[in-house]
Amino acid sequence: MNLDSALALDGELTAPYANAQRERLLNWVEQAAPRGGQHLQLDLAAIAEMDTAGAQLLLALAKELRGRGAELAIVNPSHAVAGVLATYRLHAALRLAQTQGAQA
Amino acid sequence: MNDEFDQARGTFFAESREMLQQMEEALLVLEQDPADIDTLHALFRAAHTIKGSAGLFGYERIVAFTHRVESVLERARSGQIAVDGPLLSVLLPCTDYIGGLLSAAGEQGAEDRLSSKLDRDAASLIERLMPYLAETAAQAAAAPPLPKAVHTSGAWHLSLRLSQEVLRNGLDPLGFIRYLDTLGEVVFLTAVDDALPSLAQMDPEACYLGFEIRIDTAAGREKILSVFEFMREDCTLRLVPPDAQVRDYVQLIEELPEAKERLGEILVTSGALTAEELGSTLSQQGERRLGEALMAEHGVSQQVVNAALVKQTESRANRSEESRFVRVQADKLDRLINLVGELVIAGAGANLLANRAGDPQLVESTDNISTLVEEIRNSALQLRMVQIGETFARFRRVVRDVSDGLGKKIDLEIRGADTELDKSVVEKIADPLMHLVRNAVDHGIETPEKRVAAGKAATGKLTLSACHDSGSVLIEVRDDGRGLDRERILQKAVERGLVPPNSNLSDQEIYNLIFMPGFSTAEEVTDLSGRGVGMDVVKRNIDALRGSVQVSTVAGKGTTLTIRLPLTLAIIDGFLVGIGNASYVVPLDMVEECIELHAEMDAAHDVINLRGTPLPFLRLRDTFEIEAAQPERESVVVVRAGASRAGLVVDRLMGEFQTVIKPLGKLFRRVQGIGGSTILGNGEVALILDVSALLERTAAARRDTNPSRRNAALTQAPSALQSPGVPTTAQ
Repeated sequence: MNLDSALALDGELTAPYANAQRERLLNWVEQAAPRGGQHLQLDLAAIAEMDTAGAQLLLALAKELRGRGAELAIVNPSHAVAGVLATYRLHAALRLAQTQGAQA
Repeated sequence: MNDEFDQARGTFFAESREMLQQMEEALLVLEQDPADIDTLHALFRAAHTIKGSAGLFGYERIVAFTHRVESVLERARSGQIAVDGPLLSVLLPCTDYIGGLLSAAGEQGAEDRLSSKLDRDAASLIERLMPYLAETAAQAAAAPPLPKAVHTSGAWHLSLRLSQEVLRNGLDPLGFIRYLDTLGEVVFLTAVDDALPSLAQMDPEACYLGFEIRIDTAAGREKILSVFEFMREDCTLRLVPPDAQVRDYVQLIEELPEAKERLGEILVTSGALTAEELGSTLSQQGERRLGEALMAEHGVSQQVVNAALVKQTESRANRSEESRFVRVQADKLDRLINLVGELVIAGAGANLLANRAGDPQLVESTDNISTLVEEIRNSALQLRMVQIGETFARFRRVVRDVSDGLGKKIDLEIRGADTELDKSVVEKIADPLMHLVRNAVDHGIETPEKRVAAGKAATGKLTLSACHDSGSVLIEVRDDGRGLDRERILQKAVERGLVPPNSNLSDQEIYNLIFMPGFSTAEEVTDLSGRGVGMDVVKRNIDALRGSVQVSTVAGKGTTLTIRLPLTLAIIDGFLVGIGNASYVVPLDMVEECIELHAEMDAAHDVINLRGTPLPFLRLRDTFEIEAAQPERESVVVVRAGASRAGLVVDRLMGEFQTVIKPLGKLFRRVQGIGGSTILGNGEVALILDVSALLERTAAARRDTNPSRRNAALTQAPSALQSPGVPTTAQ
């Protein structure tokens, strides 16, 4: 898989930090300016906490990229992230690579 | 799609809008007077008409929704529910919504783009209608059984929609959903993020998500609900139990805010339904779209509705609809036509002066103006033209109701519904037509038993047709019933003193007796085989429209009533003739030819030999008692009305003349043979001849003075009825 852009988030993906994380994601999308067929990778190894607001952010990001024809892949989800994604069964929607998730 | 279909579709939209308008007005009237049963009927009829026509054009969404409205109205009509303020206030937004559906249906593809919004609106309205619908057990039993959703056994279906405030209220749905695991196995879960705005526009602290969950659990409804107890204020939870029917899922789809296709897909993926189940159920409900879409594996993302786009589309649909039809107040139109009438008269005046002045350039320019005025006249009159179909369509219900009441089976066939004639004529012909239709159903068509015994199909056939024929409109009411009973009519007429006993009448003359005043009264209705209920009234109404009505019948085969009406009541093309100093106008489309009167035409007996055919004629000089010197040369204007033909002998032929019809004063209403008056270019008044009445007079004159010549002179002899212009059942 050709990787066109990657970002690693840290801190919390929770409601109180949701707006700050959204800014980072927006900046990333703006800089990467993804076009059709491109692959963007989001590394979530350093996320300490995550809740529904965080899951919602990831869904919004995936939707945004899908809208531009690009693809999002989430790699190295931390334990917190993996737990939420498992509960909400978002692996498919966020193209969570299982093998990399297992490493975390 | 051809032009004709497009045109019919255009008519459907215009008519439906009119019906909606009527519904709205009716609702408002009912608000003032809830006991007004006629208005309630009208309201029902309007809804019924919309539904029926929408069905013809395959607008299933309109049919489905209007059907519910109609059902509620039916219950109101039959007194099962009260017509009160709350009901009316539910029905009013329903008419608005049907209007919205019409707009969406009017634009290519709009219905699909707006489907989720339309469905959402429909769901909320139907919810409000539900208390009034209250399906009875019998109706429910009559509905086709829905297939059971086999895949649902053992699993509950949960539809969770979160309020935007849930996160700000410090609650995380995650915990509640995790807790579900303790109740049983969550076999399916998917996040529904259709309402999620773009990353840039979303409020990250608001919640836009929903979840569709299937959980295999032994827990009951209460237990599952209790899981979400703390979040009760911040979510909407819908539960479908394990033993649910497909119907329940369909209802669920209808209640949820997301697009039907999307939800259907989720339900299929979750194993709640198979695509076939969903498809078949929805098509049973007349909503094939979703099922088809699912089978075709439509993508989901296309269904995401951009609110701005929706708004834009809506307004565009409205605009295009409005630009095709302009509703104008009738009195404005009448005023325009009056002015055009004055213009015609003034133009004729100018023409006259120009001719008198003899200036060729002036004559040419006034001629040009005359041509334009004529075009303006035709266009102005065209504005008043409406299709007769709407009037015909009303009879469908009449025929159905009356025949049901009498235990008869009758098919109503409508032909030429797109025939146009003047709006005022259409309005005035509705009542006489209603009379004829009811008569045909009441008396013309027999009961199924009698029909079968007579070797006919058990189902009778009633045909309403309209067509244009030489400047007038022919409307036919034809049944295949028992026909008129010649002997009974004659007997009745003799009893009533309408004709002397032993009078020598042709069949046609006998049938025409049913139009005589005093021929029939109400108590003879059922007694008389055939017809006869107030036919004199029908004839009087049609005469008042300068029309004529004729009957033809074949015993045992049926009866046909043919109504001939002028296209318009306002302006006609006339043919101007002169007798002495007076001028008369003959409607031009009734004039067949003009010939010179020669002595060898056997003029002495008031019948001339027109190329071998006997033609009765009237001397208008005698008819109107004009005392003026007889000119050396006289002319005969051969006129025809329907099947009758006669000659009118006049002094001078003065040519074509655009005639603005002015009504006669009260004093002259009863004068036979005169239909109105007009003003000539020189300011003089000319009388418009009522040709039908004059033709009758020639027939009567022959009968009274010279019975032996009747066969030659009768203008309404049966053979004449077979002319191509007037189809009869005997053909």
